[in-house]
Amino acid sequence: MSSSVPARLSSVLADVFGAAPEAITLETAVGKLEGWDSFGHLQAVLALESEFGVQFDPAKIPELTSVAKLKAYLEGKGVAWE
Amino acid sequence: MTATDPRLAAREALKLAAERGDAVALAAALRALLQAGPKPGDYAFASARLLALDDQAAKGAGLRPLRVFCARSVTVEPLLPQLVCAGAAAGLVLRVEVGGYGSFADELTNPAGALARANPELVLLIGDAEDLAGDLRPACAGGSGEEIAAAAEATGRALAGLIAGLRRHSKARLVVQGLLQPDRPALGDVADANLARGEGWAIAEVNAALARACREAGDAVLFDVDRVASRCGRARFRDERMFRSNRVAVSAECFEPYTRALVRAIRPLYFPARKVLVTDLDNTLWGGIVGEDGPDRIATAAEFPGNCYQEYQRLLRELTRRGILLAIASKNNPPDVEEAFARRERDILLRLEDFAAVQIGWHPKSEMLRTIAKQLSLGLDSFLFVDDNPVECAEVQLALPEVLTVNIPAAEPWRIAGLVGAALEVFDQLSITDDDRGRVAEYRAQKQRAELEAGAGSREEFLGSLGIVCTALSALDAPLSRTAQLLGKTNQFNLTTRRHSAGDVERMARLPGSQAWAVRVRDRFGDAGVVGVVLCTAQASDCVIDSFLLSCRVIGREIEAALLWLVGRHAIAAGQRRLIGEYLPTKKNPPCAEFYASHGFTVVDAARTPLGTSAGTVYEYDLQSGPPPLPPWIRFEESTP
Repeated sequence: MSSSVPARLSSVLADVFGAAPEAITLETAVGKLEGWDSFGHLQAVLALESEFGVQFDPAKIPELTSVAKLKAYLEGKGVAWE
Repeated sequence: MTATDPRLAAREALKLAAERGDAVALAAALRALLQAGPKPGDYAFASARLLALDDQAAKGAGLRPLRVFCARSVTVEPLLPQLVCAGAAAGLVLRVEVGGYGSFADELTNPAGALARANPELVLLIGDAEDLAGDLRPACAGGSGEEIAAAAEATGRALAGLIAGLRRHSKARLVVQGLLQPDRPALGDVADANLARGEGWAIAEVNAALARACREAGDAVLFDVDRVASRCGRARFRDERMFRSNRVAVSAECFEPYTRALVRAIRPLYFPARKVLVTDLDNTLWGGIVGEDGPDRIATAAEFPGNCYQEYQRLLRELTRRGILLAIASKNNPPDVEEAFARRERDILLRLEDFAAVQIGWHPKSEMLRTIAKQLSLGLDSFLFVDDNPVECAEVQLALPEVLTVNIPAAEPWRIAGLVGAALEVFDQLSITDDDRGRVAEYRAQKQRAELEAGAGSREEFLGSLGIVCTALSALDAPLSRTAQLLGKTNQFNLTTRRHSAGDVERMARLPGSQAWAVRVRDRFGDAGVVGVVLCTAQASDCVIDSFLLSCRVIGREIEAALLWLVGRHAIAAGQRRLIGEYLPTKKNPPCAEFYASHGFTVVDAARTPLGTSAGTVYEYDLQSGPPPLPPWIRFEESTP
């Protein structure tokens, strides 16, 4: 498991939160980026579902509050980074 | 060498355009991105950059900025980036403020509430049946017709009350999303279909009540979301997981068709409908090439594949019923085409006379379209062009980007009617009036007038022989929907191009000393219907002409002079001493630039008029020696005020 943010993940989050891809690190979390509020979070989840062809468990969605957690969750869904 | 991904190229172009603040390039890049099949992140990326444009820059790129307030009971936020992109593709920058989940009723009806404070130009009401019509489904479950009817009536009345409540304090335009039909009706498929009243019936009733409330409110439109859901498939349209957990009422895979349909509902509130469909003949109106196959062997018949072409012909015939004009642009020898229409009269569902303009020859298609536009006195931006040949389509797109071009596949004739049908949203309008229905006959009369003019000695003799009668009507009774339609879509002979809504006209007509006229024109060849509008306000001792417009199909008969006479006469009767006219130039209205100057008006400094300032040219006409003259060949009638 790599310790940086995979480009496919950071580019989706950067688009949705209106940030530069470099600004997305594993530590980036809800409330730390201007666009990452509760609606931004939902929008990010929907975009990630479409990008990676997975479905998030709605009960888990509110808990995935950082890039590291999102990355780990996607890996748990079988997403492999190139 | 790596192939460039058009999606990434469009993104890069969009980013560069945003950095340079180049709104025109940004709009073009956005169109390219939408065509390339964007990902969800791309919509967010593009919409953020679009919304960062200031209003002035947006206008410079031909985009109209709109302050939008969305009253809602469901989560719309994740949809907004796609809505903004779809809006931009249709020429709008939608700056959306979203209301609270449980406060939509207060927002709509409270004159001091959040919506009123936002002072929006457009209001969207987006709710789910669970929130807007919560009593309906339980009432339907028992299968009692009386109970169902009572619940539908009560729900319809409550929702209509919200619309009327908004209209009492706001003149914003309004789009109301209707209710969705349930995928699984309360009584089950069989009972719901067979009982006189079931849930399906009740939902349709409530939607009809909403449409009625929109018509009564004016400047309001029902967005038939159920139509989109049925096109997408109702089960696919909603993602129960996201609806139950986050109140997102549309599945992410249907965001694109949903937002596009919502913009389609918004568009007729702001943009005039196109008016003309120009069709190619060979492998489009019929199968085969008439010049090579001969009139007897082209495919147009009740059997396959001729029935595919008949389906397209049927679609075109339907369009003429609501006033959309048809024209032909075809590379052929005219006698071949005439022979085909004559010999295959029973198999071709249209006659050559059904086409308001016909261009058959060997000029480039763009040139043919230009000629048709001139013949019909209509702008090319009101044209839709259908052709099977990609080269012809590309030639038209390049030479005349304002024409909407539909390239149909020659090898798959069964797709023609569907592809053209999907493009017909550019003909969408909120109301279809008698004037629309009479338009095709009116253009036929226009052709006869042109023939008469060619044979007449002088212009006066020709005009005198037409027997023109103008009837002045109150702009409120033209009917008002026709007045609003003319204000919304007249481009060429329109002195100020102020797009007043029906509500604006009502308010203006109520002001003391004001005049609000619509004019109906007929002659010995036919009735052109209501074709002109004049709105004037009284300011001190002046009659200020706020709006003056005439449909281009009656230009050249001095109807406009007769209208000045009408306004002048009434201004004198009201004790006013001057007519003040204003010309505000647009890209489209140079044909009327000299109108006031050539009708006895003189240029005056705006500061010496009640206008104070003007972005155009201001004119005055002294009424002391009477109104501007009425042309001798026009008889003027006034209906009772």
